[in-house]
Amino acid sequence: MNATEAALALAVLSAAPLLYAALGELLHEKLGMFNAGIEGVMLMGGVIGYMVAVDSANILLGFAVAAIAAAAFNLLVYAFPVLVMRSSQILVSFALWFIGAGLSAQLGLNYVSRPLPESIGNTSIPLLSRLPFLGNIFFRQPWPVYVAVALTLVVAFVLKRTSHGLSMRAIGEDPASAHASGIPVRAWQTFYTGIGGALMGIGGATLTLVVTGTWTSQITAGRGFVAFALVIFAGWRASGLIWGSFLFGLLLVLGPVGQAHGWSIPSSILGMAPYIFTVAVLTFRTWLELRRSGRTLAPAALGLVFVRGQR
Amino acid sequence: MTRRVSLRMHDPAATAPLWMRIVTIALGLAVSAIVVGLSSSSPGIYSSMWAATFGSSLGLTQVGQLATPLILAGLAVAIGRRVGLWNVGVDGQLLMGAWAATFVAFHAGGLPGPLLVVLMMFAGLLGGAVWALLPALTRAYLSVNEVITTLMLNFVAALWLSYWTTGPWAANGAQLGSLSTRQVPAGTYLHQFSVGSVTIGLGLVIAVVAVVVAAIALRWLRLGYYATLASGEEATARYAGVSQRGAQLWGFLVSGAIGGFAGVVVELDQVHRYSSALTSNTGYIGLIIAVLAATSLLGLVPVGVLMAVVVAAGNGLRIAGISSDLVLFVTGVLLLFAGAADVAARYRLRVGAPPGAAPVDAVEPPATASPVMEVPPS
Repeated sequence: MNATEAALALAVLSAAPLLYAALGELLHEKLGMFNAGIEGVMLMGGVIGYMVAVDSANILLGFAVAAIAAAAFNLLVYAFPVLVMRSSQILVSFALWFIGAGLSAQLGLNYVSRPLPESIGNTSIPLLSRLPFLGNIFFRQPWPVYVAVALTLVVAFVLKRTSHGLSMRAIGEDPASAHASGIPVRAWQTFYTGIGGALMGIGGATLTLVVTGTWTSQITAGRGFVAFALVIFAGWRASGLIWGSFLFGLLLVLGPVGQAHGWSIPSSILGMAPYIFTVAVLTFRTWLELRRSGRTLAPAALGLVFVRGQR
Repeated sequence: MTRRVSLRMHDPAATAPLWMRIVTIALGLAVSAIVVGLSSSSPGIYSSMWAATFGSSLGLTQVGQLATPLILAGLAVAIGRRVGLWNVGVDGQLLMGAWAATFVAFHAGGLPGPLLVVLMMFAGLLGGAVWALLPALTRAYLSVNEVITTLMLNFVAALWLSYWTTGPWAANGAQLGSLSTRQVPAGTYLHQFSVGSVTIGLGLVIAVVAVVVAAIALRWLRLGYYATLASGEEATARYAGVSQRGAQLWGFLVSGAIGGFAGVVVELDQVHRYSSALTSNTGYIGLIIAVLAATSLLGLVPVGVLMAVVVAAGNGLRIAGISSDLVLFVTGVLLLFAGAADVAARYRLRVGAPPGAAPVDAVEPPATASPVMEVPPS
């Protein structure tokens, strides 16, 4: 594997946490819920996965507990205030982010310098991994990368091709009509908040258990918000998340790669790339959609609270 | 017919009244205190918290110091809220304001102290406003989500600091654990007042004056009227001859300028360098300060002091195994409770109304007017 291939393979790996988190967010937004607190759920998943993996010496167990804990956290701190108490979704999003950021820092305080007992190895896909160039980049990755892509394809299929997916989209577009046609709106929203939270938590765990292999407080460094932007960038299409996350992954490794190769640009300047790119992409995408159709591709009822009997 | 207790929408735009906010804060702090108690195994954490805040003159001095940037950060967020926007980028604006001020100090260091202070303050205002320009423009003219853009720019500002403090402005023997430049000229240090054994910086006075000036400007000048129009319906603003986009743009730039100003003030008052020590989640804590103060700008001062007490108490617990980021948890819990209180304020409890009946305050038809209406058995 040469240096270019190694850098691109690292980009694919760094894209996986973003893909999980963005997929979780997509499940919120397709059902009309605006969750800008991804960062907090990722941090909770990341710290709990790391703690369990270190204490039990079992990475798979770390992933499982991270998913369950993150789902429970998202249900308690996001779904309950938003769906039951009808609090402002933006305020609750901030609360979710801050509570996750503060609690994860506290929980992981004694795990900062404790290494993982084992590192997760790469799994080579038969035949495909022998492809020149592409094989080394895409098909010799740890299994969470493949799972992320597979889950995204499943969600894309369900949303686009099944009647269940049609009903899900109906909730995000027009919850009153969805309700009138017999879909239990709030129950589905609650269910997918749990699933979405679990995915965000797995994203955080992928970051700490696979990408970095360490825990420090605020390790996500804005990835939750990058994932949020990724959903917009992908035009709310699950399949668009895959190559979108790869693009962001590429920018995320620019700093470390530049440092390793002794580029003359300081790594702190290179490190700005994913953040500046997020702002640029968000602006360009919105401008393009507004110019084309006068509105964005967001679900029409995104962020509105559905209360039975009120329109 | 049974008597029922029901909730009815009373005022969809209501925010929680003062007593409800105080109850909210008390509940939020109680929950946080329990979590802190569970997180630390060392005894006497509550007395450490007391000693770090009201229990010693050093504690009181620190509360005053911490309140200085927090009040200004709260003001920055509150101004953004006045035009209907969320400025999550105060941390970035604060650092860029301090960068601009430091630039002036390093290049015009020979000027007399007071003149240099004034120049640095202007540079700080400008630096913060410039850092808010891109989110303001994209939000006002393209409806790009300002939460994401301002937040992303916080990370850029932090990396900008790391570039300057390790590159062009690298200092020998920088303070341990933080990225810092050398000190700015000593003539720029703000005066520190002594009240008994407690020291209060001129910075705190400046922060309070800034809040009062903003409150007066929005209350008595046309600015407040424009701001109100900017955060409401677009058609209403157009009818009143006010460009909503223009008002949002200017409101957000002022918000950013105040964020930059917070950076200069804390630099001149306490840190005296361009350093990562200038902010410790200041902009994020500013969010809850603005939310709790709600529509009252003057309320920013007591809430800002309250959050300074929370941060100081948290700092007193570092040795007891409490993370300095746990203050974010407290902030989040308070936000959650404040959001719930706002919802509660929109509804009124009604006792005795049958389900689906007309509200009591509606005009009731005379009993004889409708032959199908049955008299309920009592």
